[in-house]
Amino acid sequence: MGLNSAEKIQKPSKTSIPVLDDSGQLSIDFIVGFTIFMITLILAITMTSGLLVGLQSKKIDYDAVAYRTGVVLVEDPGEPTTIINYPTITEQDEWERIGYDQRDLVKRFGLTAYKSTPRILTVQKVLGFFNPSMWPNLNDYEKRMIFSNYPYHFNVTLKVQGEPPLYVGEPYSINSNYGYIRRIVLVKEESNTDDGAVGGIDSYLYREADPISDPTGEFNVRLDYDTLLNKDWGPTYWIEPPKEDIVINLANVSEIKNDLDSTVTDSTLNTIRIVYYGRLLSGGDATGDLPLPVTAIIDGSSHTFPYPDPFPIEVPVNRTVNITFPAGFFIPPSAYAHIQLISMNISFRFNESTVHLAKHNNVYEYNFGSQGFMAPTLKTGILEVRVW
Amino acid sequence: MVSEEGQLYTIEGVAASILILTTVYLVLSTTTIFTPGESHIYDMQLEQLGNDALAVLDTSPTWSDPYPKSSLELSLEDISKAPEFNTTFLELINSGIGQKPDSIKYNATVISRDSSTGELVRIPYSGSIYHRENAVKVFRWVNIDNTAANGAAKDTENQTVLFEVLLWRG
Repeated sequence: MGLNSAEKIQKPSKTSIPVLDDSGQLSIDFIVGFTIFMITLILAITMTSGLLVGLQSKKIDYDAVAYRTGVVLVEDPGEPTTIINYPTITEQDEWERIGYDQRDLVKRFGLTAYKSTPRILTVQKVLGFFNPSMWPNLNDYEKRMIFSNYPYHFNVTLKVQGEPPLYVGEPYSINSNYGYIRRIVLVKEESNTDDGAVGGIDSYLYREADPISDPTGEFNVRLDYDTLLNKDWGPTYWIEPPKEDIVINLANVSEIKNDLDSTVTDSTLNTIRIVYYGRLLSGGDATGDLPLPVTAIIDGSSHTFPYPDPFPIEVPVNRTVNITFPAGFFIPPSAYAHIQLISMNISFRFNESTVHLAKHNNVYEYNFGSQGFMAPTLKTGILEVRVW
Repeated sequence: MVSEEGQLYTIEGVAASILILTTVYLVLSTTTIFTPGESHIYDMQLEQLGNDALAVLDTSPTWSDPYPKSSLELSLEDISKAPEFNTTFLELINSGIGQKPDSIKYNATVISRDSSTGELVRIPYSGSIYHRENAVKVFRWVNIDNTAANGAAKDTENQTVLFEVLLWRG
């Protein structure tokens, strides 16, 4: 047996192709089946990742961020902001008045006057927020209202009734996928002495019918802090000079021109001063001129009355004097921190020989109830936040 | 010897599995699956909008002595102002800025006390008819002077009523 097999090895048979049987061979069927199986398996594995597409939670995240941003803007005054009963406040106490150079002091944006007045936005904060010249970099917004390490894109739009929309952020496509919240708000606009009706503040400027033996050239607009910050009205309706613009419009100044003297062509204004009345914290009264120049628009052109007076200046006034004191103008400077302010008088000092002012009513109370006074009004607006 | 028996079944099995997998994949990927959190977000947005609208309508634009009545209070003190309220409210909740107006509908009810029975009564105020759509409910307590005959509440006296608004997208 052994020999035979040795022979077989040594001498290959004439039929040199060995006879193959089926054992150990891969059948073509098996290869085909295995290939189909592998292809299916690979397809199935690659498809599984796509199965969870419908479950992704990005939209939820965007909506939540949009909601949070909406709350930050519409229900909060931002930081820094002052609370009521401030003894003295400076420019750095209200974020909307901190300039771009000191932007690091601004911690958070928020558009309401106080935390207790959600949905009531102040026009000063709105204008300070939608201000590309003050906040040119969108990153600055992101850090102060979205608060995230993830770089969200955003767009905030505010449309106040009867005014063009204000917006900040990147443009968006309506058809794209973004997180969204819409808030209905009220924007508190500033007060004004002149509601445009006849018989307003100009009725205080009517000249005395009879020649005046003791002429006076001074007309005052008085801001009484106690009545302006009326506790019954609350921050929704009160007038708060440190936080709101104060607008004084004198119309029909020609009415007080001294027409008894034919040489007088126009009423002339010597100066405009701001006189404060207060109480010293140590006791006793305090009064004096605020050491500030005053800029007014007289008959349509701007004029600044410097401090101190380089007397005499003579500025002719034919029709109107308009002054807008920006919010914070009446903040007592730190030098006045020891004085509790009671009132401010905006004193228009005319050359007394050029006017005939009615002497009995030459003080106009800047307050609700005075003739022609326009109290702050709340305008409806829609604020939309989009985040993607 | 590999017989041919069973071969056909294997290929059929593989083909069937491909079919099943493809079908499942197609079905799942074309259906948007709403997770509970997501539907909650839409409800929250609607609720926020409703609360905002009621708060804004319940704030007078200026002060007037001794106390400024809001347009919501005036609307509830005179039920004939319901169409006016309807227009204002729909405009408030549906106006967006950079998009088409929304299509939110509402149904408002005044809940007040009937002193003759001591029960609370629901008095329909305005809005569309509610047909069991997926809706959210917002409330506001409103002080009204219901002494005039036209008031929305049951008793003719000064009172606080609960103003209930259902909101849904339709």
